[in-house]
Amino acid sequence: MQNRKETLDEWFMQAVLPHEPALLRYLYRNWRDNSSDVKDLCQEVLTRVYSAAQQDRPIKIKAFIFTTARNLLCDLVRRAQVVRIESVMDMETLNIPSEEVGVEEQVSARQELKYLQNAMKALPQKCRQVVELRRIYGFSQRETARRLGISEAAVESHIQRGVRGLSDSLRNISEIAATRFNAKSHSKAKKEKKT
Amino acid sequence: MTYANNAALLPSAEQLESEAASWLARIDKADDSNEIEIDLDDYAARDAEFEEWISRSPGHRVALLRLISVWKRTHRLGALKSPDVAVLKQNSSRLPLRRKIIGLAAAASILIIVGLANLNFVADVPAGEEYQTAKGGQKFVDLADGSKIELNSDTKLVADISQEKRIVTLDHGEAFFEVSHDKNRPFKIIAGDQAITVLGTKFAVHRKKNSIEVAVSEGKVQIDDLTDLQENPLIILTAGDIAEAEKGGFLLVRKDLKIVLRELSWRQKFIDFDNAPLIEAAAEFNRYNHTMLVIKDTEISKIRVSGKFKTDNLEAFVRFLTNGFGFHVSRTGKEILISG
Repeated sequence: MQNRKETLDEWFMQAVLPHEPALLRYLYRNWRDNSSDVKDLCQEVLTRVYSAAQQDRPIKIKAFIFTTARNLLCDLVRRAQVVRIESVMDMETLNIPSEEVGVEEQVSARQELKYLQNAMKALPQKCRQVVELRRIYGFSQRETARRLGISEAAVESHIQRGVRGLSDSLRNISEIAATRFNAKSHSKAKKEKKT
Repeated sequence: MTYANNAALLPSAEQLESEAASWLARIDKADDSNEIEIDLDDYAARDAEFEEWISRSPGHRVALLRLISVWKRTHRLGALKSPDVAVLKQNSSRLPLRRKIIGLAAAASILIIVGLANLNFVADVPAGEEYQTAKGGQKFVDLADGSKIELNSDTKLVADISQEKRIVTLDHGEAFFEVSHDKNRPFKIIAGDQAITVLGTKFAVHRKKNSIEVAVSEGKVQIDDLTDLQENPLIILTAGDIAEAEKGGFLLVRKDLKIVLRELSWRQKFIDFDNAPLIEAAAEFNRYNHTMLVIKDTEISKIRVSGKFKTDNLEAFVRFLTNGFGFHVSRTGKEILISG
């Protein structure tokens, strides 16, 4: 396992996705259009990063993400026929804030746990129970269904709703220690183990 | 969407995420482990429908990877289980003893229904026959319906048994119930804000401050949260499970049957410790005796002790601590102070 070459998907999850909260902050700051678009923009940036990495994985990951985001915003403004002034107010100053790229935003394990706990609390009760049994106690979906006295189809649908709910809650708050990963990958690209 | 006409005709992030979530649930279903080392290409090779979906665009894959990483992160919630609980799951033979409520199902597959609810509206002053034990006491009660109750030390309960209903209100303490089977008259135990409904089995309840604990050696136990309007059971326990349940949630522990039985040793007037922290052992003795055992040093309170003692033979335990561990003992009125 240790020596196996890290797949692109693994790299993406461990090195890129932890920057998503910072990316969202950047997009919210610089894109004053209807805020629901920001999720789409974020998805588009991440997809562009993923596609680019299929050729060549960037070394300075966070800077690469922000550059991609800035390019996307510039494209959009250029292509749009009608642009509301306020949506692009910072076009000229879309520079990537250096404090954002360089910042050592470490989330402690305790803080991460707090985020997750809050995200769990936001789930509907039954949904939360399903996620707990599956993820904390490690029961299979089948076993979870048996224990809760509900159908396996219901468990599957609770998991579907649960992961979306968690994703929404976590989207804005936490930034897992991506910096730690970067430090590690510089020394010797090792797969970060779950702690 | 602002840029949809320019970018490839991708569904919205919202739509993608919704599709990705249903794929995650499906992939997770095929995964019996808790590792979630999901190799998407591996999985795609086995599921043509998925392969079609994932290869529509890199955006589809990215949306799914986002959710997988969220799903993986939830694994950390495992840290919320207390260390003891984690140990219990892995190795049930070397466990510190923890006082539990024990439900012992007599017949193999009888279902016990345990209900948790805020029952403030239920009988403030319970009607029926009152039974009580003092510290160190123990009492056997035969109820009119054929059920038996065994009260542990320092316990008070009221039993209201009639043609229509069977309700026992546990004011405080711990009791072992041997409930006669009667489908039409569920046996309900009210413990503070929580209620336990039993159809017929053997069962012990230890009322704690904000929770109840249920352990099963045979058969099944179903716990309901009565505040859940959909009336779904909270969880179903099977043999070897112990759950600590409180309003709106539960903590599940798996245990060895031997340990479940050992925790019922109070019925034979014994306390049976297996590698229990001294502080817990002292608390256990203090449930039965007027003389309080006080551990003065936090250092020694963590020391593990094993052994079987009569509940009222505190002196034997104190001797065990002085002779075996060389601890110092001092006595003040109603307290025995132990220090390192």
